[in-house]
Amino acid sequence: MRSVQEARQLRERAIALRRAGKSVRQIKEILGPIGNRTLHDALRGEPAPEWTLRPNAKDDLRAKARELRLQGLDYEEIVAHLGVSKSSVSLWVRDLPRPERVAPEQCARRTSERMRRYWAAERPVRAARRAAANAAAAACIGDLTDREILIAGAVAYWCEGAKNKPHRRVDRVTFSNSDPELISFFLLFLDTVGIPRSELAFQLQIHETADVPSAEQFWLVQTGARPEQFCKTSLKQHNPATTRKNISDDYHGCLRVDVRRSCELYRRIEGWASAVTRTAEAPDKPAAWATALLPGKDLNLHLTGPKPAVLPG
Amino acid sequence: MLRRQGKSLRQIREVMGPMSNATLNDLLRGEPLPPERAGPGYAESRRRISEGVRRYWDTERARRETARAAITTAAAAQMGPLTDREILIAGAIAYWCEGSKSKPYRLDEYVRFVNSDPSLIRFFLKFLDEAGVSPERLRFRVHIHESADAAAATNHWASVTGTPPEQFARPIIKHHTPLTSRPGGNTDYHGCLQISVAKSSKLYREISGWAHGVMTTKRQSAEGR
Repeated sequence: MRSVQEARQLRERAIALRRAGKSVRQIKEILGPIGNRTLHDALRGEPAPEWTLRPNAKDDLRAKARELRLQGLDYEEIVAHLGVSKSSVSLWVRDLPRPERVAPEQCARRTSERMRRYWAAERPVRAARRAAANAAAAACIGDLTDREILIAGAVAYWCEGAKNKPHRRVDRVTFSNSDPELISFFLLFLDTVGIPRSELAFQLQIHETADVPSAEQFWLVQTGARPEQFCKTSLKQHNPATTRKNISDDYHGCLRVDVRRSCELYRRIEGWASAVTRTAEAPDKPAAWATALLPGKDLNLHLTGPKPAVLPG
Repeated sequence: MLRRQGKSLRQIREVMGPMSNATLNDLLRGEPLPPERAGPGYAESRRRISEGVRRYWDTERARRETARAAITTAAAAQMGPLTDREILIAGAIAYWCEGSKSKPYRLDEYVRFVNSDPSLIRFFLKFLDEAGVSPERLRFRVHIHESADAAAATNHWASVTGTPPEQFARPIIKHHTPLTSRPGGNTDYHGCLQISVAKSSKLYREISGWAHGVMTTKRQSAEGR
């Protein structure tokens, strides 16, 4: 321990050296072992000599950051303005007085503004990623064989078409959907099983509040059918308390596709669909009847039904 | 007088000379038909007709059911076993029809399939298996009307899916609206089963891509036929 006397002497010598234009390091070398703390305490209030104030790489940014901080900006905003790291900003401005706390509303506004900015940039990125994943999966499907179209069409019908139920004993092909792609695929399916387009009748079912004529036009183009194949559009009553969201310009209502004289086709579809769903029941062994009836791999549309006239094969 | 002797209009006309029906009817108003011409009466004819219709349908229904079954089984037989690719195609289309889809107003990429048809449910499980989803990622939940028996339905779906009923999530109970005229009030009603797949946004994108690929496909040129 130094005595008080010694300490005072040391301080005075340090100040003298400082005034003589020495840097802290040089003073330390002259005075011998002395703690940083002691030395800095001694030199407090003494301006550093000009030559030790060498420029730093971001002095201009630093000055600007301090200026912005004095205007009351927070770290994040300074970062956004200057494009430096938040930790640098912190080092540069932490000695300045903290700006007034912002009101909660303003805080919320800023947050939402930031969210908006984030999503404005992020949304297209994600959409592109989704679209890419989608397109990649779609690409691995490629063209379908007739058999594959048959399978997919029968399943689609089983999901969306009118079915024969215990309380509705009707065998008739009626398919309703709002998805234009699914409708055009169903038409492709009908082409594949050999139904001429002239055998089809269409009906648009749409909410009365929608733009009916343009929806009619839309489906006319979409199906490529003649206007006289469309029955009178069925209008659904508008429920004022509705919470339905499907009301954008993309809403074209539902299209019903009816196939005339389709009793037999209905029965076939039912058979195909049940065969498809039944594959889950006998997981690995192919059903005995299938191989017995149709040996070989080529199981495409060689129909053996009682009336093959409608169908190709 | 001629009427009372049991003569028909035609016979009366032969005796009385040319005469219009209207005139003759006017003259004969109030005279009852002779009993052998009166027929079996309204109620009796209705009974006979319905009896005839019943007899007709007793044989006809069975005949038609056989004809119907012949066509469906022939079609089913013609299908045969499906390849892996065909299962993917069929499953993707089934999902596109019945599964939950991401909408412009509700961005949600989560594989969730709801259906009341046990065979379709089983097929969808098969499809998920084919798409590489392990069974631990599946969550089941029954949707059912409050008027039906939820516990029995859970057991039913448990046996369909081969999953113990304890692993099912709490069923979703739908309020019964007495106004609806749902004809499904039969004993076959087991509600709907919802299958959710955990961590499925990647799978969702694949499925939607496959479905779009199928729906926008072209027929493969003649070679596949």
